[in-house]
Amino acid sequence: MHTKHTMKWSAALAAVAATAMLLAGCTPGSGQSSSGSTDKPTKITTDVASLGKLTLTVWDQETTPGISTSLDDLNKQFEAKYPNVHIDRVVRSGSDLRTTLKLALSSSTPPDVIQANQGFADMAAYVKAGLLTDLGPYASRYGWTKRFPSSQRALDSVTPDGSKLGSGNLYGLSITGEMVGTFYNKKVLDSVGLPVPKSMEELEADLPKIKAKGILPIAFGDQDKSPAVHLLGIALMPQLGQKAASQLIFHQAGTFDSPSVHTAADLLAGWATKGYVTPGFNGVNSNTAATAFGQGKAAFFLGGVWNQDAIQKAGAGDSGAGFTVLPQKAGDPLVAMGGVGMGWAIPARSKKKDAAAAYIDFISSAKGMTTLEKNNQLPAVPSADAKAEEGTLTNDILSTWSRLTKDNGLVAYMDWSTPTFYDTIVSNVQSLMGGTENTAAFTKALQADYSGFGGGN
Amino acid sequence: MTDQARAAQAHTSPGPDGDGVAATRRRPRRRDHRAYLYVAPAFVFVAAFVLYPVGQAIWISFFRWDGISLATWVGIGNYVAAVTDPALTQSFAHVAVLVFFYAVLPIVIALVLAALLQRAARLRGAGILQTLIFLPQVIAAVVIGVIWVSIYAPDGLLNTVLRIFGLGVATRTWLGDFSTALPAVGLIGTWVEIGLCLVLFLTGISQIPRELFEAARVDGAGFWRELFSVTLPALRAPLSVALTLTVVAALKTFDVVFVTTGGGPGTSTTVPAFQVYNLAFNQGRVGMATTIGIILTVLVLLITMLIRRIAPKDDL
Repeated sequence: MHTKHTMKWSAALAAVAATAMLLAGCTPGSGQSSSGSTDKPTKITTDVASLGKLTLTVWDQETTPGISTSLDDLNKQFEAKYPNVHIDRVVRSGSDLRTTLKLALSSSTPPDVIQANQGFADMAAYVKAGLLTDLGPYASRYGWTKRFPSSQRALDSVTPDGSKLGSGNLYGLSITGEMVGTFYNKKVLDSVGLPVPKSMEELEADLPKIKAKGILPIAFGDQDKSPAVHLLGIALMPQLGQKAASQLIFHQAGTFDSPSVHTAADLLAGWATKGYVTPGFNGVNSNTAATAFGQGKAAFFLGGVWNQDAIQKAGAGDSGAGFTVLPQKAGDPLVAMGGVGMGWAIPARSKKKDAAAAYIDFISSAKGMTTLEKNNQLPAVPSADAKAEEGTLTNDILSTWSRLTKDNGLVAYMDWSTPTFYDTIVSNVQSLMGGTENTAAFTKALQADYSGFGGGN
Repeated sequence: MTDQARAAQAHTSPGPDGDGVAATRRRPRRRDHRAYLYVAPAFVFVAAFVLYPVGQAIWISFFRWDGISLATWVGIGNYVAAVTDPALTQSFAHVAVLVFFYAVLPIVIALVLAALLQRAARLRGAGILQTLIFLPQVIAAVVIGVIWVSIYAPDGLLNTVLRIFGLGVATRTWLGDFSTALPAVGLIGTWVEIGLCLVLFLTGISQIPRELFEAARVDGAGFWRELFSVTLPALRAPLSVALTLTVVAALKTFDVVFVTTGGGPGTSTTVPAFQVYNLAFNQGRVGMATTIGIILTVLVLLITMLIRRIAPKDDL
């Protein structure tokens, strides 16, 4: 009896609470101004010294030593250049920044400079809510359009209503780069007597030869799921080329039910059935695969440059492994899926936009790029004389990135197409390579998500 | 305290309740008003931090919302999607499988273990054994996940042991295989929950008068007969507690899945709590995430009410 009584009460109270909310009638998010157009700066001052004494609050998430040191260094240089400016740097880890940023941006005293994660869930959502400043006027004033290739700027661009990525206004500027490509173990290739492949076609021809010698051709671990996106990109992008790939990802042209996607899917499924990739890859961590490759247990590792550290520490050392991006046919222009670091952006409600823009201009300048290079970071646009020690993996990555930037060959990660595409790709690649789904079902599932997308969230 | 004393105490426990009922009958009106005053502070607290957020969550679940910009009213659209979207219904099916591994299996194993330990009367090191079996309860779920990832790894403990016994054909990447991933995740839950159930059951058994066991044995009851005729009937209260706790643990599983498989391979280990996280923080679909949260809450409420139904009235 007693139990039932309390049950009824709590049900009634919940109902009361719900009704209170209904009566209040506030639609979630109604506290926001959703006007994207008023955030365009009108009069721009580039003379920071004339702005008087001010404190610039900068929120970033660069907690890893190399880039964090670079920023500290650049902040000091900026303060020395403009003694009237004091920089208050707040560093938070990625997940912390992500959860607090939404709140901070909508407050009346937001930080002056932030790092916005690109994609629908973050940058596009902020833009839709009118929380970021359109950097277009600053870009033309400071010449950022010349400084960064269009393929990079597209990654920080969103339509003002937040419905499309890759076009519209520029809302961020990124200073570091990353890409997905092919790592090769020099010792293993030597032992099999194979030269470094120069194209996807050569790579494919090498795989059975390596397998025949009893060596694992490709170290691949997909338990953490994101490697699925990267592997599919490595197989697909060279076939499409930068322009078609970029149009496909940003919904300008193309479909995922195309011959190229079929070929790429067949390739991945074939690698799995022929045993060219690590057995049990769906239950193997990507880091474990990178380590095995670094130890010389496989000839290739296909993945992002962020695996460099794991590969070197596993035993490949500074020069035991090399890195390259493979075009479909030798000599084709380079194309690779990749990205730029988080976009440095200015909250719409910041009252020090001119100083903030000057700061972003400073860290993305040639001086910023050389500072990043000094700290072993991959700058978005490497300086002309950027060079690491010949024969090292670092040098391979730097020179490949330089060539890619010159070829304007960067393509956004495929999962940027729709808010749900990441989940769709990773689960279907696991199913395709795990043998529970055929190529036709795979492309159909991808296309269903892709074509069902109506824009934004 | 002797067993008899403990049993005696257990038997007298309903006493004060009875007195209370008698006492209130004499002056019912005064009690009502004062009671509300006493309850008021706690109620304000609960209203502000539980009821209001619950109401807010229910409200949000009727919208399509990315978390910041203006939301769009969709009525029961999210609820319709939750029961029709195969990706979401699948996750509820997975959690049903997990209930077997998190609740049914550990309770059965713990019952047998408890009965064995009880028969072994004064087993040396029984305390140490209990502590060891209970230990997983104290370890953070993320740590447990990491430990089991290495056990299930291609060259992990499980496969190594299988190879030692010449069962090399049975080895596989347990968490990466479509047919074994969900049971593998479930067995982690079994491992964790056995300890909790065992401790609950041993406490329950210690309250059964020893004479009952002795009498049963004099009458020639074996292990199973004793289990079903003496132990089990006396354990109804601890059983319902164990069932409630483990079923709730199964329904809200998130951390272990997040660490071990991330819902993969494919979508073979997705669970509702994982979907809530993914929808809200990765896909920016806060309304949909809240809807799944509400459905999960209602499900937990219904199931715990059902379990309380089968529990003896005077023990909870």
